[in-house]
Amino acid sequence: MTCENTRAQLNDYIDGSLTASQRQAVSQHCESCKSCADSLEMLRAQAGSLNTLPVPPPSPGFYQNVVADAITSAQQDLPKQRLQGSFLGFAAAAMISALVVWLGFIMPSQTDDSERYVVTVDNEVRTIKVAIESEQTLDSVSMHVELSDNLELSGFGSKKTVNWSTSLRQGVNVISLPIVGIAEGRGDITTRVRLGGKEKVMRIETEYRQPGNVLYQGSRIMQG
Amino acid sequence: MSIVKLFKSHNRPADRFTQLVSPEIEVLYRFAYRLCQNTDDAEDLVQQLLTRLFHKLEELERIESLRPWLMRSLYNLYVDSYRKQQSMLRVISPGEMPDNVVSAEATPHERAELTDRQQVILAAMRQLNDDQRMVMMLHDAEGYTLPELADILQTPIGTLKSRLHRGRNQVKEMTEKELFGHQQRDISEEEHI
Repeated sequence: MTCENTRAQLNDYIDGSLTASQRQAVSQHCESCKSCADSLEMLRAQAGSLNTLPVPPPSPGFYQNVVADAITSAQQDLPKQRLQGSFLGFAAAAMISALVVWLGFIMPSQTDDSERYVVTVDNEVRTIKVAIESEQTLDSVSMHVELSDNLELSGFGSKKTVNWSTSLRQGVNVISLPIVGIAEGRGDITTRVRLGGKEKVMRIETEYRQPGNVLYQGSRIMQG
Repeated sequence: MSIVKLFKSHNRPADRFTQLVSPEIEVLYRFAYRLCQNTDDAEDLVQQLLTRLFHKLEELERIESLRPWLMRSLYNLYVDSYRKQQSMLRVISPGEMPDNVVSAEATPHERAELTDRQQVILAAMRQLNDDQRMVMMLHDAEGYTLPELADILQTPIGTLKSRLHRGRNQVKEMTEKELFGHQQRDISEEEHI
């Protein structure tokens, strides 16, 4: 049996899905071939590590409360879903206005920095684009978006914080945040970009207004 | 109609729903965690599913084998809704579509629970495509068989097997470099001498 044939069967070997004769052929080959034996051991160890991969427990009270919370949400959301369905269709037909905010450079050596901008929101989906300019390609950058209570990220329900990781390319990168104002008054969108121990913070203040009115028009905010 | 069914039919929908799905919550959460790879999103996914299913209580009560049905629904919700939502928030370059899919990161607390090897393997798995990563997670980490996954994911066994093997081999290659790269370099240098 060749190394190529053996390696093609190693996954089936560890899954126990080979016939007895195929299994014996792989075993015999691995007894005399260190390279294939090492590959087999590596695949076994990998499967073993995944087999014992823990699942972190959910937040306290999740198991006890999630069904009741879902029922409450279902009962409350029924009329709201109908309303959303109608206005989302309208929003799509009416074209979504976009605001572009330049966040500036993110560099590994940069210390905490806060800047503040003001944009208008209303009860339709308004896409706010945050542009991040990076001097170089950066891997494993953590992105965090936090919303105040009177804002929603369209499609995320009542979730007020969204975290994810990504890489940034050299030059301008853009995040699109589909924001809906759900109550009048001032609100906040905080975007944090973290790299290692450094953090760049962008705070966007929102004002609930009728569509089409831009509250603040500065050099850093443009209508898209 | 049996006495039990008669009794159930007079229960409030909320009670019937709770009685029906409560035994499945832990399994659903584990499954959701394997899909989302972080606790917050896994909790949200389970709650979203239950919220949608509450209005389908009558249909749920007629399903004979509820667990695989729920898992298939959870998976479909993840694909149809959650993955689309995540893609809205990926970082893109203007005028250029990204080829990488953003995945949520484990919290420092979650990472602390993992062995060094597990951390290296998880980092390598992030480089896989979604389909490969998912089948590896569900088969190798969660212990579902390929026939079970074929039923849940509605994908042919041959396709799943191919994804599983390719994913494992790619992770093996990446982790070998990470875990044994130095040793291999040392050996090759000795051989060179």
